[in-house]
Amino acid sequence: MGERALRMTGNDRNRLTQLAMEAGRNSTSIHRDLAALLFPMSNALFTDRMLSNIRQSLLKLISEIESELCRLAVIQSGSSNEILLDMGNAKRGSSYDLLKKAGLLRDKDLLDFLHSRAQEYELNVQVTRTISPEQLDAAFHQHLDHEDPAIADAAMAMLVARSKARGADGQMQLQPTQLPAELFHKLTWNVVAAVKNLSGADVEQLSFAAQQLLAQHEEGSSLQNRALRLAQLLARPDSEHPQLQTGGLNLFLAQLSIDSGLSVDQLLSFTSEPGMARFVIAMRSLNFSYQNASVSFTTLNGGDAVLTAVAYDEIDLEDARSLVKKWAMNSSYQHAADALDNQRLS
Amino acid sequence: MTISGTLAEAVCGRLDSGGNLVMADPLLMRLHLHCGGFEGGPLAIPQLASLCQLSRRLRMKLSRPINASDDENLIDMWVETSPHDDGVAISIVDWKEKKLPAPAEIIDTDRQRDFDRLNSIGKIRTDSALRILAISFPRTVSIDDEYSGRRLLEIIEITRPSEQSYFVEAIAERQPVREQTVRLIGDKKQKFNLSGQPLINRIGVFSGYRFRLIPVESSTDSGISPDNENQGSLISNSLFGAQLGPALRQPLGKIIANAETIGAKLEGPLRGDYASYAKDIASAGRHLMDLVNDLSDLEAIERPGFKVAADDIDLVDLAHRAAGLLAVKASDHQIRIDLPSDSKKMPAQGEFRRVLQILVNLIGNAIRYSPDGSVIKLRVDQKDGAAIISVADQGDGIAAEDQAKIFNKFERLGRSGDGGSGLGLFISSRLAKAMDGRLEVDCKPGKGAKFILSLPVRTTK
Repeated sequence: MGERALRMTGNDRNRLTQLAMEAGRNSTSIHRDLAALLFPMSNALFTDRMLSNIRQSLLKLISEIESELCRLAVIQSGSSNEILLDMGNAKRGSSYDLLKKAGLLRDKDLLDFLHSRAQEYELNVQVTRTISPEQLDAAFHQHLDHEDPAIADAAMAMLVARSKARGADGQMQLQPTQLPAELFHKLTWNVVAAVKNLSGADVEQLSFAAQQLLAQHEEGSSLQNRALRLAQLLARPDSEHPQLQTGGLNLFLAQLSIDSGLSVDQLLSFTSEPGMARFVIAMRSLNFSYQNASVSFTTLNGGDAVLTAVAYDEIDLEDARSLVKKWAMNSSYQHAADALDNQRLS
Repeated sequence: MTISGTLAEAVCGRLDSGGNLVMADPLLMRLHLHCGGFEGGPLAIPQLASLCQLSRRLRMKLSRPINASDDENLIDMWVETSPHDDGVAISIVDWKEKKLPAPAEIIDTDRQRDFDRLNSIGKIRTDSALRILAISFPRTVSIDDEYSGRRLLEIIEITRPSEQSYFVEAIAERQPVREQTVRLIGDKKQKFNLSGQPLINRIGVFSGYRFRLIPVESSTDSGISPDNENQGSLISNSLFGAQLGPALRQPLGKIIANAETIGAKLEGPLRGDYASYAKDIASAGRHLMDLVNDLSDLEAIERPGFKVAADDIDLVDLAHRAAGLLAVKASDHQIRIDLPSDSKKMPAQGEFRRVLQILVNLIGNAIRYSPDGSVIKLRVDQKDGAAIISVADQGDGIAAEDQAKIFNKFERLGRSGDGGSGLGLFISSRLAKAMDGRLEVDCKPGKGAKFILSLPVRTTK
């Protein structure tokens, strides 16, 4: 061992020293990582595929933002900074490691968003196992052919957004345009800081490019927003509940969101919980018929569990409504209420 | 106007850097004004204003659904905002209106208590073992805690013509209790009518009773002993208070309640003109009920020995309570009631319920005779050892020659068909006198009417 160390070059030794220092710093966090695996705080279920999709999507998001930022900075300033030029041309996501190490990717809003998109992808896979894509497309075409041009346009826009949200191979494809404005804003400025560190570029130059990038962002073109807009335009009588089979997952969730007051991402997180209990309560609160609720439950659950008529009908309608009303409250309030409850229990 | 579909062209608007709506298409301007905004003022549509603020803070275009409402409709919109150096541009691409659902009845307990006091109704809430959880007596200001926790039958006794056995049976079988004559143990004078409904909680278990306690009029206002009350006469002196009043109030109450249920279409759809007839019936019923109440009061105040309590009251508090009771009526006519600051105090002496009754009468008259959109001002003052509260409106006022007449019984000054009986001011004036105060009018024709109620100042002991 000692002989091998002696044969190392100066660079190797420096790198080894760096690794050792980093390992020393990180070792204090081992218990946190282990605790998160052993004692998860939520009931959400994560599959390996979801984790892989989330990792790749996050890297892709950062790469896209970083590359566009550098490209704009170079164009605007005519900079000859080689690192900046390189980062603008290649979508490597050099900022990713830096942001990860700094803990800037441990952001609640960002991770919740990524989890929702991964869950949405999983559910879409489940839905197409039960309902054929041809059947879904045929049902969706009624909106494309709608007599109201605004509805037809909104349906077409949603169709385009849906195709962009899936890669050619049908895999999860997350673009920066899918990000809500607040999240895109936060992530962009984080990348600006990382790029400044990596390239040594002028911060004003990067800042100007970031502002241009932010001004170009069109959050209305995300699949979730397109679905919400179509759902809002499609007038339904109160007695007519959304159906998974007639519009596909995204439109179904958007309609459910409008009717219940819960956000689409909340509904997605409900579906990731064991037994989808909160999702069932949400459907009950809207007085879904058992048949409709059962079809939606079985389709989204992948047929692993069955929602019985007795179990569903026994949920008191008023209790369900009051629970949904509570879940639809402002998230800051809910966070505070949960914290207070936990404090009282401990 | 209701818009049920999508817009042919986007509705546009523009905010300046201070958040003021400097340009707006008519639809957006209409909503902004409905929400309490004014032309060129800060954007008053809450969700839209937040979205514009966010857009400006992030310096990003936003595209989101938002909701708003005007007086009649819920409005779902899809809004796109775009920040500029000098403000934010708004483009509303979808605008969908739907009728607001009928508001769920929200019971404001303080306001309900004021109504109860005005109508001389007390309330008792018990648990399943008939232990008193909450109690409020008619005509008193505060809720008496002395009785809380005690059993109901420890504080009241059933008196003739009611039977203790009926009461006990009804309670044992958890049945409603109707019109039982009771009195407080230790108080021989005051009798009450006690009615109650059993309460069943959400899991179907009996959880107690809610009682109403209504004083039997003849025993207090007349000062006549209940035992002597009906002697020597088939119809007592107290025609309205003890006999006709209760006999009329009950069927009238049912007529009003049923007509309102029909008019509000609570039991199902109904042809529009039929709903309108039902509202007319309810309105006529309320008019008759007011008349019965006025005649009962008239009878009470004209009895020899009519007395009122000398409660410690605050005229500012009472002004706020009276205005609260008439808030809906005032807002129907877009009338604003300008009240003295609630941080102010004007201590006085008088019977809480009767002063409230006078103020409700004065403010009610002011609303009735003021033009829509005007202001009614209530002011308090202290002068020559009297606590004063004035009610001034912006109506036509009262001619000098009529000012002396308006406190006369049944005086309408030639008016008819406006729901008045000509007794309100007479009763109010007599009540003021009974409390060692007075009610006066001070006005010039065309400059509105101002009624001034003076009561003895409460001296702190």
